[in-house]
Formats: sequence, structure tokens, C-alpha cells
Amino acid sequence: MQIAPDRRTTTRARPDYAAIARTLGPLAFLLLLVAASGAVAPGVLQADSMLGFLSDAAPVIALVVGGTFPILAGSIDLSVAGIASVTGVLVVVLNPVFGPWTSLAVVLLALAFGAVQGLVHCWLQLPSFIVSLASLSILTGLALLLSNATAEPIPSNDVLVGILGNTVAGLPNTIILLAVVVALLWLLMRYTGFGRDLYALGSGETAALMSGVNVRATRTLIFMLSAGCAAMAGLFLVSVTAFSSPTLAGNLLLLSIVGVVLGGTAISGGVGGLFAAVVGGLITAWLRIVTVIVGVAPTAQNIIFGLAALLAVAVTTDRKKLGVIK
Amino acid sequence: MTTRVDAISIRRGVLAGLAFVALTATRPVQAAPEAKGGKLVVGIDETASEYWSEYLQGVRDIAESLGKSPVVLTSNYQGDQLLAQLGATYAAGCHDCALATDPSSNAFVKAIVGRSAKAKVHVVTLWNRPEDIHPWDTFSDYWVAHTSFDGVMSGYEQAMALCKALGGKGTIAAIEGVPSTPPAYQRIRGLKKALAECPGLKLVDTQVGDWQETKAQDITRTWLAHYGSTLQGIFASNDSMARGTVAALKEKGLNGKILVTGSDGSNIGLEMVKSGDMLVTIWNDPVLQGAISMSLAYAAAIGDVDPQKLTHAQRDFYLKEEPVTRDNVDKYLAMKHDQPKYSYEDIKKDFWKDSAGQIPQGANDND
Amino acid sequence: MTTTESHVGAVDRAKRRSGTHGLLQSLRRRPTWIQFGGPVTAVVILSIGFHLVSGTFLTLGNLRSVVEASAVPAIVAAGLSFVLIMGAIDLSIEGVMAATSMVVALLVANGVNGNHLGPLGIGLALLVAVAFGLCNGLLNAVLRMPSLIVTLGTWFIGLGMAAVLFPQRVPQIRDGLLLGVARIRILDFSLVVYIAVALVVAAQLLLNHTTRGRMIYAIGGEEHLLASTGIRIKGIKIAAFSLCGLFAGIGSLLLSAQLGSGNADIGSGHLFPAISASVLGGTVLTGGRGGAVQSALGALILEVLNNGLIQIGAGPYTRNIISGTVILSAVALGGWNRRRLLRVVK
Repeated sequence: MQIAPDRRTTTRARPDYAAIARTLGPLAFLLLLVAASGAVAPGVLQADSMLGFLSDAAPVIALVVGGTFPILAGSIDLSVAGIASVTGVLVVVLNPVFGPWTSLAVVLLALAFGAVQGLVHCWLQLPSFIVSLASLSILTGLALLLSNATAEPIPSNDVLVGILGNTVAGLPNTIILLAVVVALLWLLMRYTGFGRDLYALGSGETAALMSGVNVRATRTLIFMLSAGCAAMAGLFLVSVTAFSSPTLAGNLLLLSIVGVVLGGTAISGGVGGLFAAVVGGLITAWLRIVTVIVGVAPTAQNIIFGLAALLAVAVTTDRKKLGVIK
Repeated sequence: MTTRVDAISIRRGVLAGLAFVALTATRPVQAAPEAKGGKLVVGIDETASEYWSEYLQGVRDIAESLGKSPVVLTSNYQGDQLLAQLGATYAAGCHDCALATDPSSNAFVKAIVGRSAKAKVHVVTLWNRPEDIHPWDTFSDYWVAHTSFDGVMSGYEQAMALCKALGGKGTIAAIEGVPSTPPAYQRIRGLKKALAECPGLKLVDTQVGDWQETKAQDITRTWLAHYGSTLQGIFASNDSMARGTVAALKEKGLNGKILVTGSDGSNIGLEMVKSGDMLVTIWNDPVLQGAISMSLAYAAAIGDVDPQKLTHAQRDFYLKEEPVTRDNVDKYLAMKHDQPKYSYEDIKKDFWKDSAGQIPQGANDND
Repeated sequence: MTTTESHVGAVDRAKRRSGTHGLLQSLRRRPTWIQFGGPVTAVVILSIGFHLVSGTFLTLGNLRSVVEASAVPAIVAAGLSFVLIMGAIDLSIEGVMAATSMVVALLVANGVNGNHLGPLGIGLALLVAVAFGLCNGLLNAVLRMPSLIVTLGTWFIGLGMAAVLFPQRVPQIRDGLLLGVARIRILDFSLVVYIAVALVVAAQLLLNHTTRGRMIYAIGGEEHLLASTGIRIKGIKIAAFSLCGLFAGIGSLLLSAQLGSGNADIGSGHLFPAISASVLGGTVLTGGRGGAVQSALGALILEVLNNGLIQIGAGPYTRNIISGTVILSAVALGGWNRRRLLRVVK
């Protein structure tokens, strides 16, 4: 998963229409997918159904958005599903300590966990893949241990989860919060040095190092954001289920990686962004239900999901920007 | 050397092939149902399992007797996937639909029932229900019933069979299923209940095998090395893990010598009981479970049953299960090979004919 | 997931190698026995530690059971190392294992249908496994799609294939040849162990003593340099993925033989341990370093850990926590001497 620097020549002067088309490729794919589903079952296009779909998709999108940061820097965070599950469990377990503000405290804890993970990764110079894989194992054990492997109701006094479960003017609050967070992250990427450093790390870390990017701080922030988004995904989930469970987010990890790539973010880093993440999250969430709408035999659903993911990546991968593909 | 044109044409060819497979693997939407009521929706965890195949068989029997074809959703043990798929199914249009589903974990029960109630879909849930919500106190117009098999009884019967076969004295070890699922901790609780009544039986270790054959096999190998011949019985919480256990025992020629118990009455379990590799399995009937759960949801959807008029025992019940030993295994093997075909009219005569009574309080707590 | 040595280091090396000539020299690199030292030390330390606590770890019987249990994971990890050394990844292992197990159970004599293909059935099942690897390789090398996402897709496809093939009931294997593999014992080890040793050694020889094998290291080390010299690497990449598929397929066959049935869940819990095993054994996920024997030793470490945690009676929930911590510390210690100020690790 390495990029040969010599291939990365970007021409800023002339707009590259092919590249623009390719950036919009995933969006077109999404629209096509939704339109095709609408043709089969018009009911899914109604406002109500769409809102329902969006709030179901919110946890996946949050994970994809969070997972995009490490991947943009060429790393990966495999611990996100574990963090989401532990978040649900902690909202219950820590309630006696933090009361109504438990879920906020848990998000802060998640951010701290992400920071530690980022630090371990860059200070010990260990690949993020193995660091986050190990923490996934640790988090899985923690979730079981803390919850005693039981589903527990979320305390009703929890402010944030309570808000998330409600709607404003028909819009589920999960969608509103997600939109706000994505907007804030966009501002962070656009108007601070972080965005520039992030892409610099992804496209050529040695060069970034040489040009004085604070790699350690940037990486720590990357993993904080990833963990924070994962915790948010966990809160989204418990706001729907009203129960916590040690296996709440189960295999959302794989879906989230599929989502990052489907949006057009390159797994090798440096290419992609938040827009791609949201689109990718939506595609993944829609792929998950399209088999049901179209009426694919249940045994074949995994095959179709796999093929669709391959097809989408085959179409949307921008091979010109990537030198060596691993 | 491959030319660029070649590479491109190969790329196109592969893409076309992918698209072709994608198209041919899908099939058109089912034709409009014929009997009264809307779609029959069923949510299962996976398709590649004997248990779920048999469960679907029961659902299909009922659907066929109504001239319908069930909509099958597969969660892959993922509650939020099930929820999203239910959302799509309901959005595509659902009037008087009926749903029978395993919510895949306790945590998703309330959300799934709530989502269904909003779409006016009547639900019967299986296996998973958190301790403190019941069909009569949560979306009670639409959550018709919850049904399961008594895990405590299963564990108890297994352990008592071990106790009896070992003459009330011996050393055993236990393998638990996925710890967050009620049958897993219920069966272990049943084991502990039996231990209290059979003080000579000593439980030396409990490990988690996640319901999987291979994990149980590894665990058993380790135990054999650790405890050697002092281990006299292995309590495997289901037949798959019992099979893994027996496979490990066979490697040492100890099958039939160290006693193994399982649960579920699967085909393989029954055959191992017959061959003497397993001491006991607990028979439960997934086909019947499928038939009853689907029928009950459908009955509520078309008004044959009014959920509000049902008793607690009718809305939260266990289905019968039976210990199977070498003495009675032939009866169950015959039943496996010649499954009765169920119809809605049959089941409707008495939905609770095979009920084993109301689920007691505290059954779904894990302590 | 990328480790590019520091710029300074790269320049250094370039000086030493001066182009293609240097490249070929790096291809001739031989494995040093020192490379096996780390994982072996870890096995010894863990074993002694577990023995001190439990008192039953270092018994002949238990060591045998550790070896038996690590045989299949070692095969899978060794196969995976072909791909990891290139700097790519293969996530499809569990799907390949599921599909292979179901195919073999339905083709040889079994309790569900009338097939009785014997060795041919076993061959066809392995062909399916290789086909998955081939497909991964083609998509990655020819269609130029990242291996991570390609193999994620084929993972789902493999699981789906097993689900489509799954008959109403578990297909029991009745083929004498296949079952024999698990039952035959020589010197109180099952044939599975010998097959594992043979495969791991063969993989190591292939990697270190053939030009193509050394090319795999070169692809992991300096792929763009290699590509610019005009050496054809597509075929080698495809072969590496196919070998990985083959090894996963063999692992699945052996597990199916041990269980005596086809199982769609047979691969579950093999992927991440295989990756961890490779990393523990010293394979670097960015490629260029590692080997089949090291990965197999990594699998042995994990099995020692699994077994030992049962022996000392660690609670089922805490096991995940302990093994995660041990893996992390082992990798940290193993990579300590490679830390450098300007080293890039992703």
C-alpha cells in the first residue's frame, strides 16, 4: 500500500475533467442505485422511508467518516467497531458516576483512547493495522467483561442519548448531529493546517516529515477523530436500540472499510475526503438493503454484496493517481 | 509482455462478467400473495446452518398453506442490519404484514418491535428478549408474542444425565456458547443448578466456544492435555460444539469414553447419540418453532388472534424440548427424516399445543 | 500500513545497490537464522511463564496438543505470508475456507448427496480455493484494484458461495481418504502436523531459494523500482495470491477432515489470527520482510497463548484482553530495534 512519488504529478492549471467525473462517479453510482431501487419499489423513495433509511445509515456513515482519517493518512483503524460497542456498554456502566452526562463523558474517553492508540502507533513505530487489531481484541474483551455479556437498558436520564432519540421538525436528531459533526470536520480540514498535514502524510510521509509536519501530533489527532466518530456511531446505535450490548456494533468494521473505499477514498492514502466518506457510507448502507428491495435470494445476499463492492471499486478507483497498487 | 490493450480488454471482460453474475443471481420480486393478509416476513441469522434451514422449512410450510412465499431477511447476526432491512421491506409497502424473527441479540428487540409497530406489522420474536420488556408491556398491540426454548432446562437435563451416567461422582468441564446470547448463559445456569443437586459432580473449567465446532475442538484438546484421564465428561452447550469435542476425543480414541453432552437435537447430534459418541442431546424442533411463530404473527395480522386478549403465558412461552438418549434416539431420527408438513389451519387449532409454559421471571437475566 | 524506510536510508541503500544490479543482489538475500530467534524466544518465554503458573503447560501431552492445534493456523499463516511479503493483504481467507469446506464435503462421499468423487473431489475443492486466489490476483495485478478491498469483496463472495451450497443439513464426510488424513498418526502426531510442516518448509524454500520467490520480497521492498526495470511482476503477484488461496484451501480441507463434516463457519476466526501470527513472526505488513517459517512460528505463539490461558484458568472474557495486550507488547519488543527517528510506519 505504497505510492511511488514519481507518479504523483498533479496539474493544477487545467481542470482535469476526467478526474472530476471520477470524483463524482461514486455519487452517480449512489443515485443510480437509489433510482433503480425506486423503480422496483416506489415506496422506498417516499420522504418517510428516506428519513428512516438515513437514520439507519447514520452509524455506518459515522464509522466511515471516522475511518476515512486514518486511511487518508495511509493507516487503518480496525478498532472502530470495538469502540462503538464499548461506548454502548459504558453509557450504562458509568451512569452512576456521571449521571445525565455519561454519554458525553464516554465520547471524551473514546477520544482519549484514540489518542493513546495514535501515540502507541507512532511512538512505538508499530503499524496501525496491528495496533488497532490488538486494541480491537482488548475492547471486545472489555465490552464482555464490563457488561457481564448482558444487554442492559440505557438509563433514561442520559441527556445526549435522549436527544438523539428525538426529532426536530421531522428530522431525526441523529441525522442533524451527524451533519453538524461532518460540517465541523470539514471546517477543520479546510481552515487549519490539519487538513494539509493529513494529505501530506498520506501522499508522501517522508516528504511531509522533511517539510516539518508534526507527524506525531497529526497521527494522534487522526486516531482521536476516528475513535470519536466510532463513539458517536455507538451512541447512534443505542439511541435506536435503547439497549446496550457487548456485540452491538459487531461486524460494522468491515462495512465501514467497504464504505471508505466505495466513496472513492484510496486505501493507500492521500486521495479522497469527507464528501467521499459520506457518499461511500450511503452506498454501503444502501447496498445492505438493496438485496432486500430487489428480492435477492437470502443465500445469495453475501455474494451480491461482495460483487457489488468489487464492481463499484473497479469503476471508481482512480488508477492514475496511484503508482504502485498493493 | 501484456500490451496495454490486452489489459484493458481483460479489465472490460472481467467487469462484464461481474455484471452478468450480478444480474443472473437476482431473481424477480415475488408475485402478489393470494391468501388474506400481507407479506410473511421472516428474519433469521444465517442461511448456512442446519437449525435455520429447518426453521425456514417450518415458515415455508405455513406460507405454502396460505399460497404465499415468505420474504427472508438474513441478519448475519447483526441486529442493525436486520433493522435496516426491515425498514426497507416496510418502506417498499407492507399492509397487514406479519414478522417472525430472531432479533439477533437482546439489544435490538425493542428497536425491531418498535419499528414494526410503527409500520403496523405484527411480530413474534424468538430466542432473544431482554429481561425487563415483554410483549404485553411494550408495543403490546403489535408485539404478539415471544417464544424460545428453555435453556436452563436444557443445561439442567444435560448435566443431570452426566451425573446419572457417572454415578453421581465425577469431574466435568463445560463449553459455553456466545456469552451474550440467552441460550448460552441459560444453559450454563442450568448446569450450575444441576451441580447443586449433584454435589459429587465437579466442574473444573468453563470456556467459551462461541457455538463453533473448531473452537470446541481446540478447547477439548487443551483440556485433554491438562486433565488427562481425570476428565470424565464434557458439557458442550450445543451440538456443533459437541461435535468439535467428539472430533478432538476421536484423535485420542477417547470418544465414547469421555461423556459428551449437547443440545438442539440436530441431525448430527442425534447420530452421535446413536453411535454412542454422545451421551445426550436436548431435542427441540426448529421446524415446529418456525411454523408456530409464523402462524401466530400471521393470525394477529389478519385478526384471527387479538394480542390484547391473550394471557401472559400465551405471549411469552417456551416450546417443548426433550432429552434424547440412546434409548429414544430412533424416534427422533425417524422424525428428522420424515418431517411432518405443517399448515396454518393445523397450527391455528391450538397455537400453544406444544408450549412448555410461560417463561419464568429472571430467565433472561445473566448473573 | 506502509513502511518506507527513511529517505536517508533509501539513499544509502541506493548507493550500495546502484540500480538493477543492486536489486538482483537484494534478491539473493538469504534468510538468517537470527530471524527465527525472536519468535522462538517468545514461545519459550510464554511457555515457561505458563508452566510456572499452571504447572501443567510443559508436559509432553500438552505440547503435543499445542502443536496439533497450531498445524492448520500455521499453514494458513504461511500461505498468507506470500501475499504479506509483497506488501499486499488477503482478507478473503475465511471466505475461501468456507467455500472449500462446503465444496469438498459435497463432492466426496457424504451423507447428503450421492457424489463419490474421492481424490478428484478433493482436487476440485482445492481448485476452487486456487480460483479464489487467482481471482484476487487478477483483480489486483491486472485490474489494478487495491488488494484490501478486492479480498474483502471475495471474502463475502466465498461466504455467500458456502451459503448457497449449504444443503438442508450438515454434510458429513464419509470419504475414507480425507478422513484418514486426520486419523492416521505417526509417532503420536496426526498426519495433519506432518502436512503442515511440509507445506511450511516448502513455502519457505520457494520464497528463499527460487528466483520467483525472491521476487516476492523484491515486490514488497521496491515495487516501483522493479516495475521500472521492466521485470514482469504481474504473473508473480497472481501466483502469490493463488498460493495463498491454495494454502487456505488445504487448511480448510484438513479442518473439515478433522471435524468429519463440511462447515460454512470453518474459517471463522482464522483471518485476524493469521495476520497477527505473521506480524508476530516478524513479517512487516508493508512487505519485503518475513517468511513462511516465521509466520508459522507466529501461529505457534498464538496457540501457546490460547492453550496457556486455558491452562492457567483465565476467565473467558479476560482472554481477549490478555491476548490483545500480549500481541501488542510482543510486536513492540520485536520491532524495537527498527525504531528510527525518521522512519515512516503506517
